[in-house]
This record gives sequence, C-alpha cells and structure tokens, in this order.
Amino acid sequence: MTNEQWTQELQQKMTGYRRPAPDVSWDELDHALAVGKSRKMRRFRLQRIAAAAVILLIAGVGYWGFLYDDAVQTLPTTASVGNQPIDATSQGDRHTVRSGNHLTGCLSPCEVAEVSVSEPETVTPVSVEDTDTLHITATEEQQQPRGVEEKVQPTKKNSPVIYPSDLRQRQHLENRLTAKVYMSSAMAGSLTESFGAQIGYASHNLHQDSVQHIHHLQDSVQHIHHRQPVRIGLSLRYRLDTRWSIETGLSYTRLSSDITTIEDGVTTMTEQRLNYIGMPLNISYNLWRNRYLELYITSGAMIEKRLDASPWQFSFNVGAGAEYKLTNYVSLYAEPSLGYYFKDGSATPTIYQDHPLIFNLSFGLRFNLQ
Amino acid sequence: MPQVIFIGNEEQRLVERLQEGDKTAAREFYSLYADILAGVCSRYIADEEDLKDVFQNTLVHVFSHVADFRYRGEGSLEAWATKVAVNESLKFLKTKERHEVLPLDHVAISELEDEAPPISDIPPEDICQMLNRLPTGYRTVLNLYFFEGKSHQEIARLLGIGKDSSASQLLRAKSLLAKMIRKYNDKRSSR
Repeated sequence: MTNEQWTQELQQKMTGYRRPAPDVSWDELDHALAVGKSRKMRRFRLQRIAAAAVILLIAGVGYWGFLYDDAVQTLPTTASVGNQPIDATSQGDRHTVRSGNHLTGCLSPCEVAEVSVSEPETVTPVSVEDTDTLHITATEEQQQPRGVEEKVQPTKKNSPVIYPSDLRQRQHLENRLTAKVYMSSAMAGSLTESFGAQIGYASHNLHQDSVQHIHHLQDSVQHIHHRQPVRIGLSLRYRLDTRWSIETGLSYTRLSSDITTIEDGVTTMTEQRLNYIGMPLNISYNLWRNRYLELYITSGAMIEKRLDASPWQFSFNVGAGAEYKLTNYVSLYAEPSLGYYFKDGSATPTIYQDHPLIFNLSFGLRFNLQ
Repeated sequence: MPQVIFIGNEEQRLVERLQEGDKTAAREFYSLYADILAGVCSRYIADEEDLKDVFQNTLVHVFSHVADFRYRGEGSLEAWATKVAVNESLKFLKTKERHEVLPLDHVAISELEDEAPPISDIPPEDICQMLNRLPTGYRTVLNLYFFEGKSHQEIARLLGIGKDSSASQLLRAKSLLAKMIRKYNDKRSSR
C-alpha cells in the first residue's frame, strides 16, 4: 500500500466518525438559543431602522425645502432694525445689563434650574425710554415687519424684537467654532462613561464658547445665554466596501439656554432645556488605513425631533475622523466636523437658530460586531 | 457527503426554526448532530472532561450564532457545525495547551520510510484513541491536514506556527501514528 492510499483509507475511515455525545447542560443551551434569536431580531430591527432613516431623510429634505423659503424672507427685516444695541461684550463676563447709573439686573451665568423672580423693591424700576442704550420708539415698533415675530419668546408673542445686528455679527464670528463633545460609535453601542466629563467641558467653556444674545423687547430686556449642546449617541456603521461605509443610529441631544428677562425692574431667570432625539445618516470614505490607524472623511445629514414640541431640526455635516484600533473588537475614534443647522420654523430661540454653523468634536468607541 | 440526509427542505426548516429560538428544534439538532460533533471534537481533545467542555461550547456557539448562518444547500448546516466544533477545539487547545513543548525529535526520521501498516480492520474508535495519544501539536496538525483538508499555509495561520513547522509536524505525526498502528496490529495478531 502506498503512502497516499494509506492516507486516503485513513481519511475515509474517520470521515463521519461518531461517538456518543457527552452530557450537556440544556439550561445554558436554551439560553444560547435565546441569544441567537435576539441576534436575529436585532438584525431585522437594524434593517427597519435603516429603512426608516432613509424615509425620514427624504421627508426631512422636503420639509426643510418648505421652511427655507420662509426663513429667507425674514432675514432682511432682522438686519434693518438693528439700532444701537447694548454691547454685552463690553460689560464683561458677568453679563451685567446697566441702565443709566442704575443696576437693573446682575445676571451671572450660574446654573439656574428653577425660575426665580426678584422683588421689584430690590431694584430700581427703569423705563426703557430713560436709557441711553435703547432707542426703540413707537414708530420703529410699528415699522417692524411681521416676519420678526418668529424670534419672539412665546410669552411675548406680540412684542417686537430687535436684534442688535452688529453685536449679533460679532458674536457670530467669535463663536463660529463652538466645540461640542459628541459620543458616537459604529457597528455597536457607544459608551457613556465620559458623560460627566462632557458636562465639565461644557461648563468650563461657558464664557468663551457659549453663545449669548440679548433681545430687546418693548418694555423689557431679554438676555439669552446658550450653553454647549451635549449629545450622546449610538450608531451602527456598515461597510459597503473597503472604502465606503454607511452609518446610522440614534442620538440624544440636550440644549440648554439661560434666559433672563428684565421687565419693569423684575428680573426673571429661566433655564430653557430642550431635548432632541435624532437620527443621523452618514456616508464615510476611507482615505488611508494601516493595521492600527484609519483615516476617513464623512458627510451626512441628521434629522432631530424635539421631544416636547413639534419642531423637526434638520442639519448637514461634513467632517474627518481618525480611528485607532485598541483590540480586534474595540477602536477609539475622534471626529471633528462642521454642521449646519436649518431653521426649525418655531419661535423658540435655540443655539441652532441663533448660530446655525457649529463645529463639533465627536469621540467615542467603536465595537466590532462581526 | 453529509452524514445527515434530510427529506425535502427539512434541513432549511430546521435552520429557520433554530433561528427563531425554537427549543424543540434545538433538541432535534442535538439528536441528529451530537454524535458527529462529539466525534469531531474527540479527534482533537484527548481528555474526557475537556471534551465535555468543548462539546458544550460548540453547541452554545451553534445556537447563539445560528442567526449569522446562511443556509447554502444540502449539508451546509452540518458543514458549518463541524467547522464550529473544529474552531472550538482549536480555541480550547490554544488556551489550555499553549505552553506544551512539542517533542519534535521524538521520532527518528528513519521510521518514516517504513511501509504503512494496514488499517482496514481497525475500528475508527481505536484509531481515534491512537490519535489522542499523539502529542497535541502533532494531533492538531494531522487532524487539520487529513480530516479538515487544510493546507500547510492555512494550518500555519490557524495555529500561529511556521509553514515548515506544520509540514514537519505532520510528517512526524503520521510516522508516530503508523508506529502505534503497527503495534496495535501486532498485539491483535498475537492474540
């Protein structure tokens, strides 16, 4: 018998070799079966989420197209009523609004969760006409086009609002790079461990990076201080080929603004908190990759729904990212990007409405599922 | 050729039922494939207790990952489950017997040139027992090469060894097995 024949015979003999199976633990096996079923369900759900994302995206584009027409019409009117505003930047970080020699309200950017109203006796009542800094006359008010009403606080719907245009412009430039910490991931879930750090980061940069706006109402001054948006997200990335990949998921965004209204000498401080649930859809293109590091560019759109009200927020973003492979299953990534937020058509002042171009810095972990 | 033959599309149905988490499908799978998968594992794992663990892990993997399995025609479930059993065996050997030093010079090269002993009368259980007496490294390479049809390159990649090392271990494994068979045959003929 040749060596080859012998090998073949051995192979035939052992092919399909059976032996009595050892005892098994059916508890563990049934559990494994349940895990397998949930994997299948998860896959099915992902397909549905992806389909829903596409539908929402298409709907969002249509909705934005409808809104954008309105937004364009209101822009020139906002610019025309910018009359000698209060210059908040010259008043230091404490955002003190002065009226003549009297201190009407000292608005420190502290965290005020509840609405607090100070008694009128403690401050000197000041009428708007007495001040040097406000030049709003009745005629000017009448000239105000209707479109501006979009900017007015819901409680003051009928009062005209004047945007100090130069202040607005200056702030816009100063705050063009508004850093935001975003946790996100692909193919798997993001960690939220750094959540506390994000909050710390946001507070730390409150003075430099947050956006402030002062709205002058007929008989009151409104000061809006937008904090850094905080977003956490979960997303899944699907590689289409070695270069292209598509990513979608869910995100939660929290916007917070301190709104201070001084009306007839009464200072009212409110914190406006808005919660959004969003769904991004991004496409990434891999530029370079080695064993550990991957560099890519990404672009996409996101639709967000405000939880307590009707507005939908639509945005576009472009960015670049670097991903570092920690193990075969986990990689760390950082992704700076620039996002543009469209008008949501509501009267609520948000950082997105007042400051549509926002620089984001996302970082997180990616888990390799397959 | 698959060991388990189904009528109609029953194999595909079984896959679908497993994917749906059907417990009776799991029992059915066990009754059909347990002996085959235990046979595969036992070619790699010598110790009975270890075999029990590896076999259990194989079934856990099959049931928890059946959602990822795509049915590709007759016998594909068996082929996939066999692959899982081989992988689970290798995984176990890598962790448990990583530090085992292979006695590479255990067998004199001259023995390799002897004529191959006849095996037609030897039952597969006895051959499996002889396989289990081979040093782990030899046994693993021989299993992968002979019974799983892997190339030396694939074996080298799977085990993290050199291609030449895979070839030389196979040669020595075969030689050692032949020696065992010869001894076995001598013992039987002397009875």
